[in-house]
Amino acid sequence: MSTINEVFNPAYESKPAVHPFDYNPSAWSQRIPICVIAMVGFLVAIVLGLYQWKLIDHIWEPFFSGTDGMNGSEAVVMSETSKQMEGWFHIPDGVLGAVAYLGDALFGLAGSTRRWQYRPWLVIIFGFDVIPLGIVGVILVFMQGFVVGYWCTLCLASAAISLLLVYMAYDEVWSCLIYLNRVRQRAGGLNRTFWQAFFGVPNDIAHQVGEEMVRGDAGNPARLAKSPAN
Amino acid sequence: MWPRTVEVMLACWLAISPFIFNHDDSKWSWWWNDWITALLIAVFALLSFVRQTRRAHLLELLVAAWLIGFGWATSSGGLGAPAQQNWICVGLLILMVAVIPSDCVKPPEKWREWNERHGTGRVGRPV
Repeated sequence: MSTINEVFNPAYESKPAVHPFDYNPSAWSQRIPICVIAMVGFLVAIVLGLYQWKLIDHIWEPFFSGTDGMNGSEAVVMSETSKQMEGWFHIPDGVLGAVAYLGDALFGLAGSTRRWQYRPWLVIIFGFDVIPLGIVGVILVFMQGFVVGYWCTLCLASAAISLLLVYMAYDEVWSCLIYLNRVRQRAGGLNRTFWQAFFGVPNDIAHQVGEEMVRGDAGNPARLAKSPAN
Repeated sequence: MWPRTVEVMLACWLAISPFIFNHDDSKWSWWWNDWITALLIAVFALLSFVRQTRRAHLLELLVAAWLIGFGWATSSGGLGAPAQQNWICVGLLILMVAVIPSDCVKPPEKWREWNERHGTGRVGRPV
């Protein structure tokens, strides 16, 4: 069993860098901040959900005013648009958002620091939870503002958190997609070899491509740095 | 094994849900739905601790689909009763947790064996 030191030692886990970046996007130092921010997003979304469930009387709203004794946030989450979404999902949209953020944190915590190669399916699920669902969430928040006519500070905070998560998560998904694409090319298509690699079953091609991406001789010497510190 | 622990906790929540949401005595299907799904989730999660049945947690995906479907189908337009929303929420959570492998912090067993056979120096390590 891995020791805590092996799992969390930054000097150990940040090496080696993974193409096309100059760091390991699956490192705990990359993923733990995503999980923390996702949990902040969960707290923001669950406040909206608790109001929609009528378990709290008010939503904190420092900027925007609403109507009928409600502030801007309360007017948005109790709007007809929001009710329409309740009709589709049968749970409040704030609660659905909270579940999605919880999923970001859960999938962020799962997998080793080489999961871009060893469990691509997990990285793809993580990417799907963070990127497309995050962008859809942001669009819905802005649609509420423009369609309903009121703005909600916590909804905007949630949209900002979603966009931040997209920025922080894209690198791992990108490395994983490059890995899968190279496996596909060498395997000659979406055949058994490719799907073995996708579902974390080792084979020669998956091993070779993985080693090349780690060594950095995968054809593109230019590596991308997310920040000068990396 | 943290995903399995989370599942057992969610199963406990489902088991006590009838008392928290105060199901009507006449709605026996709600009581049984909570208890049977709780039992199935707990059994599948605990079976995953045994090597021979380590993938039993994947069967929870069926239970999750049932919970979401039952909660969604029995709610007629708009929000359902709290218990019905509870099934949908717990179903969504189980759907996410159940796909996560038990030894998720380590590389998959087949990759560990591969690394051991090929002497890559990454036997059991989390890289």
